[in-house]
This record gives sequence, structure tokens and C-alpha cells, in this order.
Amino acid sequence: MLRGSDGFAEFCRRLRQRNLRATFYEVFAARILSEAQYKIHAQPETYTKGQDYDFCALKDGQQINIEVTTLAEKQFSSKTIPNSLHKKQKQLPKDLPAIIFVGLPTQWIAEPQDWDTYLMQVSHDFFRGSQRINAVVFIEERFLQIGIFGSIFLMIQKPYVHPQPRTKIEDMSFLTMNSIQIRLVRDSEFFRWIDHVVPKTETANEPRTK
Amino acid sequence: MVFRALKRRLGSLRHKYRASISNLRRSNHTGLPLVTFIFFTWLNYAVLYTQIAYLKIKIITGLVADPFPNVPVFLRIIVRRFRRYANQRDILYIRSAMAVAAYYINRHTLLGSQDSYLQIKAIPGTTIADATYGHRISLIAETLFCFAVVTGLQNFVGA
Repeated sequence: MLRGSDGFAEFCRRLRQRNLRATFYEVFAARILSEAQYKIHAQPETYTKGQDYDFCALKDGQQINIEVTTLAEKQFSSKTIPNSLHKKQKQLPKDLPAIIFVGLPTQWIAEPQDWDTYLMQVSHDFFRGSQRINAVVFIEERFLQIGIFGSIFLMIQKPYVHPQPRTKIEDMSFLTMNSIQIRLVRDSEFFRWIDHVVPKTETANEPRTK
Repeated sequence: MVFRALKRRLGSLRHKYRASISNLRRSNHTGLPLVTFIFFTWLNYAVLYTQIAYLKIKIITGLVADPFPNVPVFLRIIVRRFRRYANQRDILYIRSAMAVAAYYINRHTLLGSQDSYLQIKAIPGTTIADATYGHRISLIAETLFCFAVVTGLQNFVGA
């Protein structure tokens, strides 16, 4: 899907040349939309105000522009998220629907705070001042250590949707579905492919056709 | 004119050759004499490309099933080389993930001078490496893989 479009090569270039964490969150956001049957198009940076978003997603003739930002692993500050949202919205066009994905620092999550209430309040304040953005999705990376050698890895999406955006998106159910993705369950094409190439019991030969 | 162009081409080839020798010398951590090292490196490449050609022929003739036609044969050969970990699935998955990531983004994710996102850290209070690297590299590789081969999903026969 993405390999055939201009998106895959562009994402690979970004992963090769830019900060891995920041670019990976862009790819992860693209994956969320790709799984919802959107076609992804990514272009190199334009550095033009209102046109410098990370990628756009197309489905049924509707275009959604996506901007992804990852917050640096620094001490928590109540101004970081609002400042980042205001800065990022300027990179998106005014007349088309848009979503901002925000990757939260892992060290923030460990702090004792009611994150759900805080994030809801921040997005509510942001939506009051702007109708350009349809939704803000916060992505949390949770890593739970169980004993010494056990662990669980979670990528949690927390979407907050604008009640009255300037341009509506037809179907936003993809944001609320699979909001918690447990990556411990190795049930994807990638792991199935490895299991096919190196089967669990057979170690000598690959399975052959009859 | 032709002679000058040929001379320029030869000059650039000589430059490339010297650069590749210099790279090999730098990457030779085995202590082998350079000639032996170059021989084994080239032998490794020769074996690899022979394996690729052989597997491609087997796929075309239908001797080997290929439920993921969009996956490069090169990657399949590389993952097949990890079959000694067939009964240690965690190691197999992480090594395969590293290979997939290296193939698509041309980045060695275990190098010392690593992006902080993939640095291996110890569990606080112990010397045991935590599993974040394994999870993150698996997630990166899985995402890249899904993007690259998703059109082959419907053809999947089953593991």
C-alpha cells in the first residue's frame, strides 16, 4: 500500500536521516491511518507556513493533513503542550481538515498526575482558540516491567476531538478504535512472515509446496 | 575527448576502490590479515548472492512457497540465517527486526553511538538490560514491514 505510493520511500529517508523517535512517531501515525484504509502521501519538507505538514491521508476524496510532534524528554512543564500545539497548527492549511499527533515523553508518564484530566483540559483550551484542527491525539509509550525478565509494551492513543471544527471529517471512528494496542501479542504479518521463514519445529528446511 | 572521459572514469573507479579498501580496513576488527579479510568478505557476498539467485529460481519454478511476494528475497535469506534461534523465538524476532530495520532504513540499530530512542539501558538497581530496545525495534520493523508488504496480505496461506 504505502510502498507503492510516494510515502514509503519518504518515510524511509526520514528514518535514515532524522531523529529516530520523532520520525518513528510519524510512521506510527501513518500506520494508524493506513489501517483505516487511508492512502498516505508524504513529501519532503517545504518550510512554507501553512503547507509544511508531515503527510496527508486520502480516503473517499477527502484529504486529512497530519502533523506529528514528539515532545523532548525533559522535565514536565504545563506550557510545553499548549506551546507545541499552537506552533504546529501554523504549519497546517486553514481550509482542510487536520489532526495533530503528540508523542508524550516517557518520563512524564511516570510522574504522579491525572494525565487524562490534564490532557483533556489542554486540548479543550486549544480547541477554544482554533477551529483549524479536528482532533489532537496523544500517544503514550508504556513499558511495564514484570519481575526481572518479563515486560509489557503498550502504545496508547488518547484522541480528543474538536466539537465544532471548520471542516468536518466524515468518519473519525479510526481514532477511537484500537486505542490501546498491546504489542506483546505477536499477531501481525511481520511475525507470521518470520514464522513462515523459520518455522518453530523445522529448523533445517523451509516448508515446500505439495 | 573519449580518451579524457575514459581517464576520468578510471580515476573515479580507482577512487571508489581505494575508499572501499579503506572501509574494509577500518571494519576489520577480526585481526585477520587484510587480504584474508577481503577474501572472506567477498566470499560471503558471493555465497549470499548465489543463495538469493537459487531461492529466486525455486520460487519461480514453484518449488518453494512464497506467500509474501512483496518481501525481498534478500531479507528472506538473511532471516533464514537466524534459524539456529528457531527455538528461541524472542531472539529470532529481535534479530529479524534488526535486519528488517537495517534493510529499509540502512541503520545499524546496535551501534554504540545510537539514537537515544534505541539505547539499551539497565533496569534501575540491576545490571540486567531492560527490554525496551527489543520492543521498540520490533515495533519499528513491524511497522515498516506492514507498510512494505501489506498488498500481499490476501495471498497469505498460513504459517
